[in-house]
Amino acid sequence: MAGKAGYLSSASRPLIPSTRKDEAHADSRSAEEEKYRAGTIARVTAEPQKNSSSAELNVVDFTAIQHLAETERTESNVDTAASLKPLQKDGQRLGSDGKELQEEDDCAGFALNIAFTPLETNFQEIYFDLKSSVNFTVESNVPMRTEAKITASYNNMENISDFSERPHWKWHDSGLTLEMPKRRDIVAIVLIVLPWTLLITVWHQSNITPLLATRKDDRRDGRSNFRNTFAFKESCSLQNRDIVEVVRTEYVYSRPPPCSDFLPTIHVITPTYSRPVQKAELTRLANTLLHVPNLHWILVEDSQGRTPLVSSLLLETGLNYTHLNVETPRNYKVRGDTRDPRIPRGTIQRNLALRWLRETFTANNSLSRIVYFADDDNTYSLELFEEMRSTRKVSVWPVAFVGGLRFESPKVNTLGKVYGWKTVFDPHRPFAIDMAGFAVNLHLILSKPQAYFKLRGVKGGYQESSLLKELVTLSDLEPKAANCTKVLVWHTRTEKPVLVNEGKKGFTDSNVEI
Amino acid sequence: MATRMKLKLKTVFVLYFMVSLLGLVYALMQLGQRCDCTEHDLPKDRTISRLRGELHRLQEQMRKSEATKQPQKHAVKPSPPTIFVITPTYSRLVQKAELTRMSQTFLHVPQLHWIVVEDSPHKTPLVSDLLVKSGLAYTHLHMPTAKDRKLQEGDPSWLKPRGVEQRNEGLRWLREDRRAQPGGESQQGVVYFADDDNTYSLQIFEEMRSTQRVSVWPVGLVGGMKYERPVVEGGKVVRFHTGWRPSRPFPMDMAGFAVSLKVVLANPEACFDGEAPMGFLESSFLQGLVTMDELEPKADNCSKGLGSDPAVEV
Repeated sequence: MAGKAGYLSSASRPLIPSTRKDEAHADSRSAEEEKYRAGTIARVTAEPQKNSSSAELNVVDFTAIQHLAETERTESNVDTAASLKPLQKDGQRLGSDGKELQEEDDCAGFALNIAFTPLETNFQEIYFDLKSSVNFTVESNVPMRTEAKITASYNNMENISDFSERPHWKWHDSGLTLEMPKRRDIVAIVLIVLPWTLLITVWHQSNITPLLATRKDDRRDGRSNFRNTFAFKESCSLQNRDIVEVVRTEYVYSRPPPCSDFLPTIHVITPTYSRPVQKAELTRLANTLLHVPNLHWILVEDSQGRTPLVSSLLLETGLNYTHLNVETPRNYKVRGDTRDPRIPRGTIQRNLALRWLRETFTANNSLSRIVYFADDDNTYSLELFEEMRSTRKVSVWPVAFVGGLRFESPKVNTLGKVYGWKTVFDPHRPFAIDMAGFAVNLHLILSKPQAYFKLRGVKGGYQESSLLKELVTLSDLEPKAANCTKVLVWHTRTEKPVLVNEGKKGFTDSNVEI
Repeated sequence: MATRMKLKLKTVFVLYFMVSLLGLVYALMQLGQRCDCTEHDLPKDRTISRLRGELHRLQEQMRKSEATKQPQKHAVKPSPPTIFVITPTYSRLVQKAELTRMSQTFLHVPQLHWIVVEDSPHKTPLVSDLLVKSGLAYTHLHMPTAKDRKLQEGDPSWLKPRGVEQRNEGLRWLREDRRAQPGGESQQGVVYFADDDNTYSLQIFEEMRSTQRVSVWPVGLVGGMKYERPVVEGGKVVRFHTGWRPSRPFPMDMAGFAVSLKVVLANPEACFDGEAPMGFLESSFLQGLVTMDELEPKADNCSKGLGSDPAVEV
């Protein structure tokens, strides 16, 4: 029943739908006569027999058109074959659902096999019965531009009187056109695009185009330049750190460390006042500061004159220092030792230091100078001073033991900008930060000669804001200490020593300095 | 002809793919190489080479100063006696701050060996990291205090003696370690008990280096007074000037004395007695070692205050 066709001719008669009775009839006759006319794929006769539930389909014209190129519209070198055979199992005819036919059924299952050769064969078995409409699709694995049109007619010869009962044929012909993405094509596209995207992103990152030449390596500083092209911004600060490390670990107890011409000088402003623990505090602080290269200590006493205790201490340490003094007027002074936050301590002294800096330095220095307010009872790690050396305007970092928390810190977003404050005590202050939590570049202070700590009418915790709001805005702040995640300064407070036994007989000799 | 066209397209794709792959591989290999960037970022380059030059200059300077120091040192003695500082510490909020401050002070003292003994069943990373980063020569030990000897929440700090087990552990380690050293008992060294909440001036370490047996000096802000000190007459300590229980055998603070290593090694049983009454801790240790007239007064015959004892409050 099935026949193999050779070359096909284009369909000249689109058969189907089946409303064209006459044509079908005509076709069938001519088809029958010309059984194996060229172009015909297969011929199958279909004869519905009412009682035997069998029918045979006569596929008159079966055309496959394959477009390979625009110019070869009609040519095809595909062999196609189609066959229709009834479904049988052990001699029993099966219905279209694959089950055995009962006597009362008058439909039969047929299998229509269509094959495209030689490229990729595709067998599609299509089941249909005489009463239902049949869709059949042919999927082809041939290359993208294949278009197949299948036309077939159902030719029911003698026994069907009403042609309209014959099933409609529908066919797809658009599903096989070019736009259907095949897996292989997708793979190919991805493989082509991927290397280029990788290349472009990598190239873009390096921001230096000549990645092609090599450079003589200078290994004398012991740090490899392996990632030099990608880490230019870090390399400068790394070099700074190198110098500091060398200076710190190798100066072998010569204090203070030798001065470098390239490290920015840090000016540490410390207000201090006389009390029993003053010498101890200043000694401790001096021991810390002696480790920091290029440091200038500005010590401002809250006293009428410079006390010998402080003067001799400063001389002994060998630090680079400036000793100032200004007395806080009585109405500003804290009564006794109560920690009344409404009267900020040390304000006048810090303002004096700022004034001294403004008088001593002018704005045309090439090397930057950093100003840091360090109280004498806090603890500073040496890393802190290195972090603040790269301050351009105002840098900030977390401080431990303030605001009733383990530490307070600025809130830093993913872009590295400060947008808020992680504090419990009044986080809505313009700058909710402790005095020890920020450092200012001297250029900024010199450029705003009116910026001072406010004396009067400053609420508790707002003293830092009174200065900073005249200098910078929140967005100008530079977060340090690994984006404000490390604690490098502790707001320790010295316990007031218990001196209950003083004044008792013979105690103590007031000539001895403590 | 269709086949040929097809083939051509396919080969084009394949070629394109291969070329791009090769280019990518090449570029990726180039990433690992150093590049010649002299045309770009010139100012940064200049800064870097300038800084490097500065670095070398400073290193040279230091080497020179060290070289001039060395011959002096060699003329005097092979090496100064090491000061072994035993510090008990315990975990609390200000622990890191206190230890940081201490390490910053100790960095100024040559030939110092810091023995830190934690009151903990195991070594904590906080202290380990701090010690490593400090750059000091150190030994990290730990010894937990027995529960009944420990201060509870709300206890005043003077209720139970603190740091006893830790100091004893430090002594034990020291004795063991020194015994293993060549030279045995005839080793130079000084042992000092430094608590982590005190302030130390740098002169004290120089003063104590010459301790032959036990040396003493004034301590500030202790004993309810501005300072406590031994009273020296004729170069010998006759009594102690202190406001609190002066009848103790050695009425002084832990920070007010240092013991020579020889004495510590020669008396392997001497250690701190945790059962001693309040304030007798130092005496419990010193009693077996020395008598009052054998004490060596330092700091200008104990007229200068060199160590002081303010406790730190959060």
